[in-house]
Amino acid sequence: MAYTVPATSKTPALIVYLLDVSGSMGEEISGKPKIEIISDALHQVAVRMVQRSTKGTTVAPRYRIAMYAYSSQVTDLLGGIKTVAELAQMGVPRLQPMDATDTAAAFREAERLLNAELGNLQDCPAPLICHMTDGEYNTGGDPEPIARRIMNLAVPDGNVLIENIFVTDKALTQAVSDPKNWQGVTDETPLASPYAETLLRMSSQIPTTYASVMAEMGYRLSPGARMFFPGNAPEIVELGFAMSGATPVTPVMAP
Amino acid sequence: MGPMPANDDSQHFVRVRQDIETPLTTLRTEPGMALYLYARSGDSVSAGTVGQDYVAFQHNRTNLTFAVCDGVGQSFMGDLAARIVGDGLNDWLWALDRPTDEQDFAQQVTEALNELTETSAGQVTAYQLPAHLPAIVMQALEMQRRYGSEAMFVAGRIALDGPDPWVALCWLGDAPVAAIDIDGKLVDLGPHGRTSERWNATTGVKGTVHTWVGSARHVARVAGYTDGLSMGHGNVPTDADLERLMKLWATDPPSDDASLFDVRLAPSPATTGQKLLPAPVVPAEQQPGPIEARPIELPDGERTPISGMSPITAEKPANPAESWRPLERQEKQAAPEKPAGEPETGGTLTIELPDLSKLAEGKDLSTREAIRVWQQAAMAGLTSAALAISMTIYLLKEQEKGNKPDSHE
Repeated sequence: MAYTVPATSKTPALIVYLLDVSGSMGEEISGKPKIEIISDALHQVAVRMVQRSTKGTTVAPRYRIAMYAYSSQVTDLLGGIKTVAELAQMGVPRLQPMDATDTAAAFREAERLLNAELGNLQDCPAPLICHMTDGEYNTGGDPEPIARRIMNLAVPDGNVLIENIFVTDKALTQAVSDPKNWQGVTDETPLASPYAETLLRMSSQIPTTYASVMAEMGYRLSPGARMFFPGNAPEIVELGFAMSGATPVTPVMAP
Repeated sequence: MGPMPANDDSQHFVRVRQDIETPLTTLRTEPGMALYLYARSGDSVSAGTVGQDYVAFQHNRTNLTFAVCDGVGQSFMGDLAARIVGDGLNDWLWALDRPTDEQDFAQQVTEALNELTETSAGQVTAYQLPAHLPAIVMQALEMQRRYGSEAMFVAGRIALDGPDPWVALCWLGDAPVAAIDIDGKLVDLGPHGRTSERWNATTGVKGTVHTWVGSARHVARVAGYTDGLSMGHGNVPTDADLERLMKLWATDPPSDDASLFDVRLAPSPATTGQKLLPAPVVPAEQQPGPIEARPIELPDGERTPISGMSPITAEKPANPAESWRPLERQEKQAAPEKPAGEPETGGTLTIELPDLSKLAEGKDLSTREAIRVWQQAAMAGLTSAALAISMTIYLLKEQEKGNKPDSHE
């Protein structure tokens, strides 16, 4: 359970994005619609994944990516799982705000995908679910039980990881002023809303190997921090998506 | 059969191509038999792109330099840095005087590599990316360009002229690996460097250059290879390992680029895995002067060219060339046409050795037979040409003195 298996062409990392595109994602933060900030951050993480996969101009298929947008329905944005090279060819889709927020439906789709894929991922890094939302579900019920089932799925490298990016200024009692030096959210961090606490419980602890990769990117997340990134600053959104691409790509020693 | 070695002082530069596979290949050079190989990763083969490793070497009658470089993935076009540093090191090492010690050598290498950035930084800036690349890939590569093009390497100089032949090796990073066969033992020149150590074509050396400097007299083999050839636990690949890997990669390319340069200055069981012929003892005073500058000494009483090895007399010797005969090229993998101006490269070598069964039966070889053994051993790279010449002269002198009648002729 060390999360040390590197993402390689022969053992690619599976990353599943669950993206809230409810109506509230059309609201602005820092003078820009949230949905555009999310699209930009997704583009950046795609570029970063390509950077981490290139040998010369060759993009090695180190990552396999699925991308679901959800509102009252779940939409498969890529038409199935794509390699990072295929995603680079397709480009990252631009998102549009829709209507309601059925978070549980999105997690059910992720669970279905993982159950279908897990048998083929025994030599691969543990899969990661990256969930981004800006508010509590208003239809479809509580996603936490599904998230718990997902977190209990495992491959030899470790249990499936779940990360939550919560685009809101109502989750923390004190806003993050310096994302690069922020130590992250631990179980002791005071939270300002019940849904933030729910999302924290749905967030895996950051593996040491991921924290090392993030340190190379200049972030200082503390040991014990969870994969939970609340805030409405674009830098926090960027940090959250950067974490989703932080699977080690070179062999690492178990900590 | 590979190209004949130059018997003059002309300098030959061999650059192994990065865009195709080069199977384990031999090239007879005067300092010794050179072996090299190049295998691109499965990803590069699938995409039809160049490998990120680079191998180059140059040689003349008494000198040889080489560089095995590993372009760093995730840096900008690691194959570019690998080429620049490989060619730069070969040129610089060729003009090198024997370093005072390892510290002096490390300092000189560092200074030379930092000076190299005066030209290489511009090459990185000017490098034209293919226009057809997707926008995301182009954006990722431009971000990498700002970071720079990086490579790790192992490189060396073997100088066999003069009264004190020497070897100087340098390396940076945790790959490639430098190895030597010295005093009959294969030595992985550890401790390895660190992953963070590399040469950046824009900013120069990151980390510490590691070096080894010593006499060439007891060195039978010098090799540099990238981590695709690493045997783990500090073990150096033997000929059997090389043969096994080439067979494997013929159908299943390595997951990472793999390349090797390996020069054999003298036969050694540690490398070949084969037992040696007992070599005739040549009193030091009977060796011609210039030959003594060669790397192998045969002190009185020793029965093999490698000090510390016991002579082997009991068993019928196997064909000593067999274990490192290069793999034959597959018909379906015919080498592509060589572009005009492409430097010479070696081919495969077929070695025919004389019948040595007499030795196993305890009989003496005739002078002619003994000379032929030495000639063939030199041609096969099992010993240096100079030592073979020395032995030929010695045997003929002995014959003239009547010490060894040609009773078997």
